[in-house]
Amino acid sequence: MEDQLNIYFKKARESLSEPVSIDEVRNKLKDAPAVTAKPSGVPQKLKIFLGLVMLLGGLYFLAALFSPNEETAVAKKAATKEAVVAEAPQHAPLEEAGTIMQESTEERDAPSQSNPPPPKKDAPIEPKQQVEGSMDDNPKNTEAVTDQEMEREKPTPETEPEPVSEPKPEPVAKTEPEAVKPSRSTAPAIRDQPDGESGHRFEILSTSTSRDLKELNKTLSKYGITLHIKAIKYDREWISTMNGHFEDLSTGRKSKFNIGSINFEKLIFTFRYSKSTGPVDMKTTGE
Amino acid sequence: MSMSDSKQLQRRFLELYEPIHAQFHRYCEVMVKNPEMAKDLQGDVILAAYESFNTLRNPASFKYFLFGIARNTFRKNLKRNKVHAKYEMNNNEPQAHDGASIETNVDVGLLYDKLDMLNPKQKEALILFEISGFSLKEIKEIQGGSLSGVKLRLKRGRQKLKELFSDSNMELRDSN
Repeated sequence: MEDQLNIYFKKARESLSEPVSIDEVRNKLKDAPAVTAKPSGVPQKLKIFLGLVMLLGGLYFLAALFSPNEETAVAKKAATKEAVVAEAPQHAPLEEAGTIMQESTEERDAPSQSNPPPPKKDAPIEPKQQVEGSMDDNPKNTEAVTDQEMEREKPTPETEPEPVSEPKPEPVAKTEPEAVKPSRSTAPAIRDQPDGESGHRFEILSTSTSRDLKELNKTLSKYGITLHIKAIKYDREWISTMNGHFEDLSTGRKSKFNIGSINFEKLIFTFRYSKSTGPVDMKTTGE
Repeated sequence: MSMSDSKQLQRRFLELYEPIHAQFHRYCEVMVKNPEMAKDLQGDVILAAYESFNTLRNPASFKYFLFGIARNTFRKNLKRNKVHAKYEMNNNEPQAHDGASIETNVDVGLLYDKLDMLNPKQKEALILFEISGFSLKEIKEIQGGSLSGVKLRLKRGRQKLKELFSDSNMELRDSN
């Protein structure tokens, strides 16, 4: 078998074709593309790593290049907005002003209060100063009239305890509408209008400033109520978005409000107060 | 790279390749079992080896370098299944040579069939030793490992071939 195997290999050797001449190989090599000069000292992995680093660096650079532009654009937009507000905030009409929303979580036993009609609802309402101007012309403005009507119409609540139990600030609040005549310069954006003997009514006008709201909070704190504002946005000098709640600090009861449009005129917050019960019937309505 | 550098590189490559040119051709032909395809494979391998010739640091390893490229090229083509169309077109039917008798062609075809049944390393060692005519030391350089390892591979390969041939002879006798 060994010999037979050798014979097989011999036959295989003999059967093989002649190799191509070495000249042919030489020609092939001449036609071959240029050989890379020398193996570079930088390993392939390092090259890939460097490539990735460069790519990431480029991306970072691009990102850095674009992001400040956006910021600038936003800043410019804000600046333009401010400029518009500064230039002509007072002439914008409030024709679309109307009732937006009313949201009250505490309506257990509160009687539905009829809110006074908004002043000059039919006629186009001029901005704050013009309205105030009209108030100057007619000292008995609509709100004062409304208050007097309400006082006349509303009977004394039966549940109300003796007047001795009234809190300290209430008399002040009672006398306020008479004592302070709204004028062009002094008309407050937030007013406490006594509603009946122990009822209180605060109005947050669309023109109320954050300072007014602070003052309101300060006033309400005398009644054990605090005003929490979660979000507030101004469009020019009007409140466009505002949400939050009034909270009775002793019981934790809340009366929520959520203004989502510029087309609101005022937010009315009413409650009754006595020293024994604290604030009750907290209600927030909007016009 | 300048022209003179390129020429120098070619010269160096040919200095190393020329002594094993015929042997390398035989190896390629037995691997692909077709003279024309063998020339193609040989040409591909020579070009690939020349293109990466700069990476060869030790000229003594040239055989290992060249046959390694040949082995990888052949395997790569096998994996891609292109080899069926290119190199192994006549896998079971080795191309008949004009000058060879029918009996020789049948025997050679039988030998190639049996060689395909061996372990790839054993097959390669046998081709390199018996057909290409490399020495044991050269096969050690090409395949790597030790000299005794090469000897053992050759011995076991031959033993296996004998068994395969005796089995086929028995089958032929039985069929008759």
